[in-house]
Amino acid sequence: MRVMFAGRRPLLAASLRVSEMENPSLIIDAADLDFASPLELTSIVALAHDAARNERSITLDLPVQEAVTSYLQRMDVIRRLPRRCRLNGRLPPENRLDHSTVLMEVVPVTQDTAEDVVARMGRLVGDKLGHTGARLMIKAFGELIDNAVSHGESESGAFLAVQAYSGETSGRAGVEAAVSDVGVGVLAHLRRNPEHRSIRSSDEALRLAVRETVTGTTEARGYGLSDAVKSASRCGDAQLMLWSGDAVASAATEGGDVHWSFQPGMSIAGTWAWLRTSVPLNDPNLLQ
Amino acid sequence: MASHLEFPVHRYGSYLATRGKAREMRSVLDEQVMANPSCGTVVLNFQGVEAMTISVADEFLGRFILERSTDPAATFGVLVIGLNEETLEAVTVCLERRGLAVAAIIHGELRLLAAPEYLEESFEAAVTLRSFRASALAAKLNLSLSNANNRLKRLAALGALHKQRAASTERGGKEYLYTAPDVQALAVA
Repeated sequence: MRVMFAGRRPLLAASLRVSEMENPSLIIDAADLDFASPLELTSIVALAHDAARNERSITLDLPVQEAVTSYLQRMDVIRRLPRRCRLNGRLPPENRLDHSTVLMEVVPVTQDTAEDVVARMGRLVGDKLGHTGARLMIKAFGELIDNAVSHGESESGAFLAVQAYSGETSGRAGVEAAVSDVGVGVLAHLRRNPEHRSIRSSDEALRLAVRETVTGTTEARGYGLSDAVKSASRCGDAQLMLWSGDAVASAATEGGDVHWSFQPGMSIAGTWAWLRTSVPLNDPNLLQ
Repeated sequence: MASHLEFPVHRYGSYLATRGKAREMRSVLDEQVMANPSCGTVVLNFQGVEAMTISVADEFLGRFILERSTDPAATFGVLVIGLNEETLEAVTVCLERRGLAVAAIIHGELRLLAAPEYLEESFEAAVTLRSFRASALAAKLNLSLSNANNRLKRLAALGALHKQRAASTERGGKEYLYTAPDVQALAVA
């Protein structure tokens, strides 16, 4: 199977192109990738780890643009790939500067390491969005991390990355974070609850999962996704994407209202989640 | 006076995200409570916790209060302190969803979080009365004795008030003495 990551932020448009091949190998074709968000970074690594656990051969075609390859390298995409992954293309020499105030490289996250990762993220976000912004972002993204390390748990774990934007050109400071796991996915998780055993598709599962009180457990839970969106929207404009199985759910908030949309996507193992919040520069309500 | 047990939540991190960590925190807290049977009040101190998900608040505090409220043998009180705006919201939302409430000090004032209005009113009156019998609350709020008893039973189950058998009864039946948390004695205001 060849999965093509092409253009700018291809996952956010759910526009991955896939071509099947006769042999079971996986080629992650990032040759024409022009710009990667944390979602592309973590998902490339998650895809590769899913293939590795299924003992498939893996190749990553590096981006033609050296700057994009450098970014993948700087964000530890190459480092986090499974050992058996072959690289096709040239890796530029690495000039590694400390950017810990604006980015968090792709990092594995498990039940045991989640709180350390969240603490690092809190410091980074606090630097960009201020005290209140960091609290809201962690309340929001923390729910997605919790889903990834609990319901999405697998031997390969989950992968997380964060990128902050200064807003010098757009006038809005922002933070994007993604967490991609190779666990059971939303459909299988929800079906653990006898009440939802009849769900047949990932699309149906995602449409249910974003509602309150829908849970794969038999406990009085199931608020995580709606809480994530609410907290993020209090931070400013927020967008959230969830890709699970062969379905994609996207939420955008505007003035406190949340609009969900759903579309089909390439079938993946586990769940990929992405959240972006942005605030006007020097927002007095957040930057305190 | 019974001793109190303080549980500094920030020991587990400034930013708390996962139910797994919350379960670990609750398990440690349960062990400490069991090891201190004479503990009068469990003080859950959130000072230093910048943010937590509502899932964490629910798994740690929501379930702790739920277990406290359904354990007829539990006698300890529960008091929450050190909340900021965001952790306060997380605590309030998780307790509202479970139909629970907790006593807390917010901006130096003793309050009952997430409670319906009638219970909040009863708690406020209890704080004013300090140590009292149900008849005193009934008189203060112009309630029937049975209504006052029901409210006090709920507040005691939540650990918001201490309940003990009254030394002597005025009416010959079973009577209880209720005590609101003594914030100054706990030295946490």
